Order: sequence, then C-alpha cells, then structure tokens
Amino acid sequence: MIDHDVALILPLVAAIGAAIVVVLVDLVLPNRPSVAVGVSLIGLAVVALLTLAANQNPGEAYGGAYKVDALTTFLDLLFVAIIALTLVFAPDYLAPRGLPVAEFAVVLMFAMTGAMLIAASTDLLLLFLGLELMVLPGYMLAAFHKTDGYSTEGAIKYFLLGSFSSAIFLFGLSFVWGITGTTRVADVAAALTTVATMPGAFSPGLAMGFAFLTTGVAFKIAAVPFHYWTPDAYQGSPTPVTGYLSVGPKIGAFALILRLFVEALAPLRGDWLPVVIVLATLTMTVGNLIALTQDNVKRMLAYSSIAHTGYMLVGLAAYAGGQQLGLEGLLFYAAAYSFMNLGGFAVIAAMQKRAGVTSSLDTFAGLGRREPLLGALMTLFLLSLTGIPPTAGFFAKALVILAAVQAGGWVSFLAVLAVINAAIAAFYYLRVVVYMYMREATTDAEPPRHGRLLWSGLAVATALTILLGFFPFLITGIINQAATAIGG
Amino acid sequence: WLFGAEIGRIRVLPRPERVSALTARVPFLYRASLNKWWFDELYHLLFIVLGGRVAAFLWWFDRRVVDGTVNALAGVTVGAGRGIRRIQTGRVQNYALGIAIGLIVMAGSFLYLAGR
Amino acid sequence: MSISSIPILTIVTFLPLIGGIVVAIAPERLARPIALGFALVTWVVSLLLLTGFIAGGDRGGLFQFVVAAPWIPVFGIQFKLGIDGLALILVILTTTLTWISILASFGPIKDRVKLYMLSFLILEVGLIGVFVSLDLFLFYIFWEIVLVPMYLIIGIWGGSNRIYATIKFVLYTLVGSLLMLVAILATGFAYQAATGSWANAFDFETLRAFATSPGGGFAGGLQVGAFLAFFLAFAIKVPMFPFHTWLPDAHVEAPTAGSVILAAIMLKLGAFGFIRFALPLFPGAAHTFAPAIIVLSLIAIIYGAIVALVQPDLKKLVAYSSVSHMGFVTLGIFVFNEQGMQGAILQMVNHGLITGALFLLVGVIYERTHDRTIAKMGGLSSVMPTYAVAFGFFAFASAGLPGLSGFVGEFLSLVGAFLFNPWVAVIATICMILAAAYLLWMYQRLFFGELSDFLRGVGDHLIDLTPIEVLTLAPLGALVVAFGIFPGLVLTLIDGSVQNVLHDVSTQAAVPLPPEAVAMAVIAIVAYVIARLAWVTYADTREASDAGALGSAAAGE
Repeated sequence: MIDHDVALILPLVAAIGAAIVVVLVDLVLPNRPSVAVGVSLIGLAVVALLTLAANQNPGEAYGGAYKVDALTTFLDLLFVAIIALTLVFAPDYLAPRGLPVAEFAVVLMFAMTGAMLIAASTDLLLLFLGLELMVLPGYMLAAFHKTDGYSTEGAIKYFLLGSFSSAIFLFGLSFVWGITGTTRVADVAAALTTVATMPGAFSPGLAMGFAFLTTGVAFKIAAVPFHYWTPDAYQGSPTPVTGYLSVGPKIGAFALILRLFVEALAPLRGDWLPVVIVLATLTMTVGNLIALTQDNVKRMLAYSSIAHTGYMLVGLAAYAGGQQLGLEGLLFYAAAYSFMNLGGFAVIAAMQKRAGVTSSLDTFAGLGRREPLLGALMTLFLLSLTGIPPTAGFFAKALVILAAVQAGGWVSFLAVLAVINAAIAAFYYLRVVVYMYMREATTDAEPPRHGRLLWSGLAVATALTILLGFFPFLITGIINQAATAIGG
Repeated sequence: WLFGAEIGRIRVLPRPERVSALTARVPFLYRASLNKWWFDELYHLLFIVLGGRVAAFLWWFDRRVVDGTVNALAGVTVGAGRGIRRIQTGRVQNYALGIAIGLIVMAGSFLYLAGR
Repeated sequence: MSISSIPILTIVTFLPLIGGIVVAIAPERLARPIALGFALVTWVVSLLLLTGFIAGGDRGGLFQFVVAAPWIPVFGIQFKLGIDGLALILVILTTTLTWISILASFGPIKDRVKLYMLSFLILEVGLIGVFVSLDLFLFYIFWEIVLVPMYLIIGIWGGSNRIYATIKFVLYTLVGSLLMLVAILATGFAYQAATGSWANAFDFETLRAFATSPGGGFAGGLQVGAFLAFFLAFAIKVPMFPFHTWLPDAHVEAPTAGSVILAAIMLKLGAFGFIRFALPLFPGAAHTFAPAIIVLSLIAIIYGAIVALVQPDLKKLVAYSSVSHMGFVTLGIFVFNEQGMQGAILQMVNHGLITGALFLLVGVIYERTHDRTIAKMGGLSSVMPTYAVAFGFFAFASAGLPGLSGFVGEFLSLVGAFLFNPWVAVIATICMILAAAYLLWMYQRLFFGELSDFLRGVGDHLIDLTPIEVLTLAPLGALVVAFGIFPGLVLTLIDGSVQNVLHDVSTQAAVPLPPEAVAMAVIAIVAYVIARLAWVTYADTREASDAGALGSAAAGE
C-alpha cells in the first residue's frame, strides 16, 4: 500500500506526469495536434479519477501543509474541466496560425498543477508556491503568439505587473508570518482568534500585512482598481488563451482567497469585510461601465470578466457578513462562470478559425444566419452571462444575491447594486445578439468548418450551462460540503 | 339611452342596491349625459383645447421629460463608462502607479480599521 | 373528475415548448403548420381546463389542478403550478391569442420563419408559466423567459428603429424585474428567518398564509421595500405612468403579431402580478402606497388619452390608448373593493381582446400600404368595406360602447372608484369621453371622405380582408360580444379570486411611512421635473437660436 501522504498528493503528481508525457509524445510524434490533445485529455481524465479517489480518504498530509477536503476536490475537478475545455477549443484557433498545440497543452497542464496546489495548500508558503506555479505559465501563454505584437505587449504588461503584485503578496505573507509566528493556516487562524478577542491587538503591522495580501490577491482576481493588466493581456492573447486566462487563474486566485482569507484570516473577517464591500462595489460597477463602451468582443468580455469577479466578491462579502451561503454562492458562481465564459470564448475562437478574422463586433454580424448553431450557442452563453433564467449564470447570481440579502447591513446594498449591474451588463451582452441576429453579415465568405473536437467541447459547455440552471442541486451538495469544510 | 344601458347592466352586479344608490347620488352625470346641447362646447374642448394645445404640450412632455429621463439615464451610464475608460491608458508605468496608489489607500483603510 | 387526474397544467405549459423543439428540428417550410398545430392543440387543452374547473362557491378561489414537486429542496423551491379563476381566464386568453398571432403571421413573416415560430412558442411557455406558477422563484423564471423571445421578435422582424426599441424594452423590464428578484429572495429569507425553516419558503400559498395571518405578516420595513420592488417590476410591465415610454416604441417597431401579444398578454403580466403577488404578500404596504398608485392610474388614464389624440401613427395611437385603458385596471385594483377588482380583471381580458384585434387591424392596412400614418389615409370604407366594419366594431368596443365588453370593465372600475371616492370616478369618467374622441376621430380620418392620394397610389394592393384575416378577427369579435352581453361568464369564474385577494388585503392596515421621507421623496420628484423641464426648454431654445428661424419653426412642432 502506498503511504497516505502520497495517496493524497497523487492527483498533483499525476498532473505533472501527464504534462511530461505530453512533452514526450510530442517529441516522438511532433506536430500532431489531435494526438497531443488526446493524450492530454486521457491524462486529465486520470487526474480527475485520482482526485475522486483521494476524496474517498480525505485528510492532511506532510504535517498539515497539504490538505484534501471537499473544497480541494471540487476545485480540482473544476480546474480539470477548465483545462480540458480550453484544450478542446484551442486547436481550431492555434493550428491555422501555426501555433504548436502540444506546447500549449503542456503549459496549460503545468498551470493546472499550480492551481491544484493552491486548492490543497494549508500553508502560506505553499500557497505562494502554488500561485507562482499557476501564473508563470500564464505569462507564457499570453505571449503564445510570439510573432504578434499585441500578444507580446499584453504578455509583458501582464508579466511586469504580475511580478509586482506577487512581490506585494509575498510581502504581506511575511507580515502575517512575522506577527503570528507560523505559516500553517490553522495556526495562523488560531493566533488571529486571540487577536480578534483582544482589544487593541490588531497591530499596525498586521494591518499592513492585510493590505499587502488584499492588494496581491485583488490583482490576481482582477478586482478594480488592480485590474489594469486585464484588458490589454486579454485582448492581445490568442483567443483560447484569453478564455483560459479569464477563468483559470481567476478561479485559482479565488481558491487562494478561500484558503487564505476564509480559512486563515477568518477570525478577523469583520475587519476585512468593509474592504471587500468596497472592492466588490468598484469591481462590478467599473467593469460593467467600461465594458459598455467596447466594440471588440474579446475586450468586452475582458471587462465583463472583471464585473463577474465583482459578483463573486459579493459572495465573499456575504460570507464575511456571517453567511456560509456566501461561500456556496461564490463556488457555484465560479463553476457556472467557467463554463459559460469558456463557451463564449470558444465561439469567438471558432469564428476566428480563419487567420485574420478579428474579434470586433462586426465579425458577429449576421452570425445567426450564417452559422445558426454557433449563433444559438453564443446567445445561450451570453444570456447565461447576463443572468437570464433558466441558465447556470442565473442561478449563480441568485445564490450570491440570496446570501447577500441574508447577510444584511451593507452587504444587502451589494445585492441591489449587483442586480443593477446585471441590467447594465444586459446591454452589452445583448448587443452581441443584436449583431448576430438583427444585422446583416458584412462578409459573404463561406463560414469555416469547425472540428469535431470543438463541437463536442461546445456541447459539454452548453450542457453544463443549461443543466446547472435547471438542476443546480447537481453540484450544490459538494459545494455545501466544500463551504462547510472551510467556513463551517 | 347610454345611461339606460348602464342601468340595464347593473343586474349582473353582485350588489345592485349600492349602484342604484350611486346613480341617485350623481344626478349631475345623468343630466350631462342627456344634455346634447353641450356638444358644441365639448367639441371645442376636445379637439381645439385638449386635442390641440394641451395634447401637443403633453406629447412634448412625454418625449422630452418622461422618455428623456430614461434616455438620459442610459446616456449618463454610457458617458460614465467613456469617462472611466480613460484610466486604461495602455502604459504599464501608469498601471503600476495605479496599483501603488491602490496599495496606499488599502494600507490606510486597514490601518484605520485596525485602529477602530 | 378524470381531467384532474392528469397533470393537465404541466401539459398546457410545456406543450408549446415541445412544439418549439419540433419546429427547430423540422424543415423550414413546415414551421408554419407545425407551430399553428401546436398552438391550436395547446388552446384546446387549455379549454379542457374550463370543464374541470369548479368555479362556484369557495372552490373558485382555491388553486386547482395543482401539481407540485420539490425542485431545489435546500431552499424549499418547488415546481408548483395551479390555477384559480383569474389565472384560468388569462391562460385561455394567452392560448387563444397565441394561435391567432401565429396565424396572423403566416402572410407577413417571410424571413427566418423557423426562428420566428420558435420564438412565439417559447413566448407562450413563458406567458402561461407566469400565470400558473405558485412558487415565487418559478414565477420569476417564467417572468424572465418571456423577455428573450420578445426581444428577438421585435429586434429581428421589427421596423426600421427596431434595435433601439427592443433594447429599450429589455433593459427597462430587466431593471424592474431584477429588483423584484432581490425582493423575492428577501421575502423567502424573511419567511425562513421567521419560521426557522426553508421548507416551502417560496411557496405562494404558504407565504400568503403567513403574510395574512392575524397579527402576523412580514415586517413593515420588508413590506415597503419588497412592495416597491414588485411595484416597479409590475408598473413597468403594465405600463403605468411614468414608466410607459418603452411601450409606444416597442409597439411601433414590433411586427403585427408581436404587438398583439405585447398588448394583449404581456401588459397583463404586470396587473396579474399586482393581484396575485403584491397585494396578498404585502397587504400593509399595499395600503400605504394605494393612494399614490391611484393618482398615477388617474394620470395614466387621462394623459394616455390626451396624448393619443395627437398621435400621427396608428400604432402609437393604440399604444397610448393602452396606457389609458390599463390605467383603469390599476385604478380598479387599488381601490380595494369588489366592483373595482372585478372591473380591473374584466378590463384586463377586454383590453386583451380589443387591443389585440386593433393591432391586427392596423397590421392589415400596414401589410397593404407599408405605412401607418393616419394623415395619409382616408376614404378606406369605399374600397375595404368589411375592413371598415371590423375596424369600426373594435374601435367602438375600445371606446366603451355599451353592449360590448369594453364597457363593462370600465364601468365596474368606475363604480369601484366611485365607492372609493366620487371625485376619482369623475376624473376617470372624463377619459371615457376622450377615448370616444380619439377613436372616432381616428376612424373618421381613416375611413370617411375621398380615397386619399396616397391610397390611390397603392392601387390594386388595397384588397379587403382575406379569409385568414377574418379568421383571426372573428373569434375576438365573438368574445367581445359575448363578454359584453354576458359579463357574468367571466365574473363567476373570477369571483373566488376577487374575494380572496380582497380578504388578504383587508388583513392589515397601512404600514406607516416616516412623513419626512415621503415629503423628501415628493420634493425630490417635483424638483427633478422642474429641473428637467428647465433644462429641456433651455436646450430647445439654444438649439433654435443656433439654427435660426428654420430651427425655431421645427422646435415648435
């Protein structure tokens, strides 16, 4: 029998192993996108199975630095799904542009390893390690189209500011470490409980630590006013990368928030609640207002992803306001957002199969007539992003809002603000529908043929977007366990 | 005859006694419905005063004030978006400065919260 | 009773959805007959409801044909459908007008027929769902589903300014309904907080029992907040002054059948929402705001009628007349007496029938001339005699001619208003004269006199009503006559619903509002209107002086 500790980290090991296997396969059979994607998908399936197996026997490993609980399992499965969908959507875009699919798959899977490490870390240093492991491949991916000026420019901005924020975050960790004298999440929480009960014990040093930590994670989730890198990096990156960047690192960073703020810093949640409320307010409103003025769908979705960060922060605020339901809302939102946003980006990527096609709104003109199925799917994803029932996006918003209403006080104000923002967002999402269905095509070129892989990926994203809308209880069970594991 | 038909309708009402009481209480309305010789004044009121000046004003009010408010709200929202959009300069040094300012504000607020 | 042993409500609600799926799969040329077929079958099934429905006595107010299944048990959210008399009559109105609309679209809609028919069938699902939902969460879902197909119908098959109109329609409704979502969630949570359990927390009957229990009910603050949110959502849909400006735009741009459904059914959603949800759940707040809503209704009645007088476009005229007529509905609801409530519900049905028919009739002339400008018409009775008769019939019905159904509803509303306050009734009565004025004036300009030069230019296209058009109008005309002569047909059905809601409302007195808040709100509104007036006048004069004499002439239109 294998050691219990090893059994727990097996999914992580398998993820790294799968990435290496893809490298080797690419060495033997170079330039075979379908082989690379196929091997990667098998690897991801193995990781998913091992994650489920590890969940059978949850617990801590390596002296409490690493933990497998319902949250780890849920997030790991979500990451696997995100990576799998990204991989499935990518070849249609990458191959015509001569970009290597195998490398793309490998980098993505390493990024996933980082995200999985975050989800399971219960140690501050390990959390930082996971964070860096997740974002470093992100920089590479942003620059994936290296002959494209915009791609490189976006990547450099992302890299510079990302390093800046990582340093800030690390600085914050060191403050917390210095004051609590430990890097174990459980011990930090215990130390802070004493701080919370003693008047005047919230020292300026600790306050600085909180400020640095909050700034660091706010950057990673692209919360206003630390979001500057997002539009540039998103617009410049190849479309499948943008899809991934708008989902993967964001949810990875939220995993970090769950482990750090919800688990370690929970005793002082009354103190960071006001900051989260302000961040959520700014993030929702500014993201939506700027998205309103964009004529490029990719850039528009970049700003809208900022707004979605804001809605998830409402869930966090509801948790800090005393409602565990807030965490459940956040997790449900994360899942729903992943599928609908990736689906949306997949449609954009599919339309850009022919090199040179931009992601401006005009590209979408007449899509409903030229490619009815693609247009219908895009409409579904956009409706879900708007929050129109019966879609996953609607139920996600309803959960978050319900939690905010329950929390009372200023958090309830966030609920009202969230729905007003949803109405603003409806304008720019529905504008794409206007172009697709109510305007005539600007080009009469034959629509490109899309790969079977892309269609099956779209089918999965569509099914999940609809299923989670009709039957949210499919995942509310595990979400409830996950939220109880950290916030209960 | 118009009011006669109304009285005939009363039979279907669940409480006819209250309605007939009503008819007795407003002889004015009853008389007015019979008085055809108010018709000219009515015509003048309807099509010259109401249909002309008042209606023209109300329609203007409807478009410019009531509907104008709705459109102005939309305009203000989009305008705000245009305004805020300018923070996105495209220069990485501005972004870094923005993050630094955000960090300072964040530190200030946490110091304030800790000092409460 | 064999009918009640099958889940007939579920069938009525989702049959159009199955139709939609079939339409989506079937080839384009079959879209029309399939859609019509499913709409007709749905209609027949909805008529079956009548045979199993027990109207008399107390049973008429109870929900019948109830189906319930847990849906999201964690929050007590259920899939629960059921109808009382009010819902029944609105469901039948919906199914009737849907097949009429689909039939009326056979000629005019030539492009993307499949998508069009699909939209109409989905629209029917949403509309029926709103009327039959007995769970607040489910109700909200159907309420929102309605938006999407209507958005497409106006946006794809509409007129030249359709995109502005459709986006305005969606955003306007969305703002109201999303706030209602917050209110629904807050209400469910308030129930959970009070009883300690999520079980049935969104179930309408449970919530109503809680809200109207003696000495119980929701806290005053929640009532006021939630009622305002519900009010906004419903007032926008009705639409009540001053939330009505999306309506003329939407009507003018929508295709004929879209206008029909919009006017006949969608406007009823708001009024239905008031009666079904806002009054029973928040009776205290309903009393608080009733005076303000009555004032707004009176304004809508008169304002809509006067503005209708000067509309150059036929559809806009009917749209503003809708604002006026729906004012009677909200007036009747909020005077809180039997006659008023009966009148409101009758008026909802009648307005659906009559205005639906009027939009069909406007569509007829638009099909032939591609124009709706009243000034260009004239002398139509000489070339289209049947059309003239039909138009005259529905115009008279709309004006409230006794013997036709429009009269009974308005009259009962007025009686209700009179019992509430005679002056309210006097003011509202003026509107009946105004309605006669704008409708007859319009009729005169359309049909009498010499055939206009414009119509002469249309020439041979100016044929009289086709058999299909007669087929769409005849059922509506028959119902208008039937309900006009025998309003009891409707009144007995809705009696239980009326008694229930009046009882619910009577369980509480008004929630007091802080007078300072009321005063500040009134001052703020008045100040805003004055400021807006000043700004607009200033902008107009500046524009005029910039543009010189020519501009000032244009500004004074």
